Amino acid sequence: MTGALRATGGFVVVLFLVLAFTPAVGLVGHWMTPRNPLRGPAQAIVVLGGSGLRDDGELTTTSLRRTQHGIGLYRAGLAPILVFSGSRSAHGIEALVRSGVAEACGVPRSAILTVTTARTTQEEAVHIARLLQPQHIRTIALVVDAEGMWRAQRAFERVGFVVIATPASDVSSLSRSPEDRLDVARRQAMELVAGVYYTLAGYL
Amino acid sequence: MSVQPLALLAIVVVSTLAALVATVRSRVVARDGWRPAVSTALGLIGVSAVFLVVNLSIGIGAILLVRFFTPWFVSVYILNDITLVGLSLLQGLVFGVWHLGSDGSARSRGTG
Repeated sequence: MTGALRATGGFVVVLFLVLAFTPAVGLVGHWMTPRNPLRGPAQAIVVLGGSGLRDDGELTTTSLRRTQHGIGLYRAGLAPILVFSGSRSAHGIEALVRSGVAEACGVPRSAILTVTTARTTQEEAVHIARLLQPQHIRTIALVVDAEGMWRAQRAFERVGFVVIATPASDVSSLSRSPEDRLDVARRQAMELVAGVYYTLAGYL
Repeated sequence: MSVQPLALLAIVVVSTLAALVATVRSRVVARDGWRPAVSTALGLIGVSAVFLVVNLSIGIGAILLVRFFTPWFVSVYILNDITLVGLSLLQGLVFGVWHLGSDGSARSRGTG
């Protein structure tokens, strides 16, 4: 067993303890959450897809949390239009299920738009731009989880939107137990990898 | 600070101390054997970490190849599963112990 492997193992153990038992994850989340000087109103609220649908056709927890956040912003009067994104899967179309939830919560059907063709954040930016920009909608309130906001915000700004960041979750508030912290750390790591990929691909 | 992390750490400390006392009293193993034990454990965790990185790299590479060269779309988020950590740990343990065993065999044959 080489010294490099032992050092790697030691690093992993220390990293695990730091992530699980210290506020490090919350601090990283605070750093990853955009400081947005812009405040409402927006012309539209755009709720990005979130893990699609469960096997029973219901929204996943992530998708439902974002949907509820978007509905809350609409009811608070942030914008007159609510856009739900969410592609087709074997169990249904996420955007349409979200639209149904919003209608059940009192959002008028005429205020809801859906995008069902985008499968990635980059595709969502492009497809939603095609939908909204012909209607002269430039300023949007973007709803996505906090740790994914910086990448989504830049992707949407790249296609011409002015973005008001309205994260659907506060990373720090989720980090109460070691398991929660590790879960958030995993999502942050995935976002960092995705950010590198988006940068290399020229999406940001 | 929440009570839960402290409770978890306290439980682990208590069980570690109990195992330490039982191990020392048994006189089956050397008292100073904990240093090489920790070193070996860290090495095995290191091997598992390498497997995790390799597994994720293979997964991401395969997904990007499928996206670029076929009409199908596969989400990268399928890799966001704790099971991959467990399987990588298993790989690390098997190949790490195998490696340790072959080291011992080589030394006993005078070739290590």
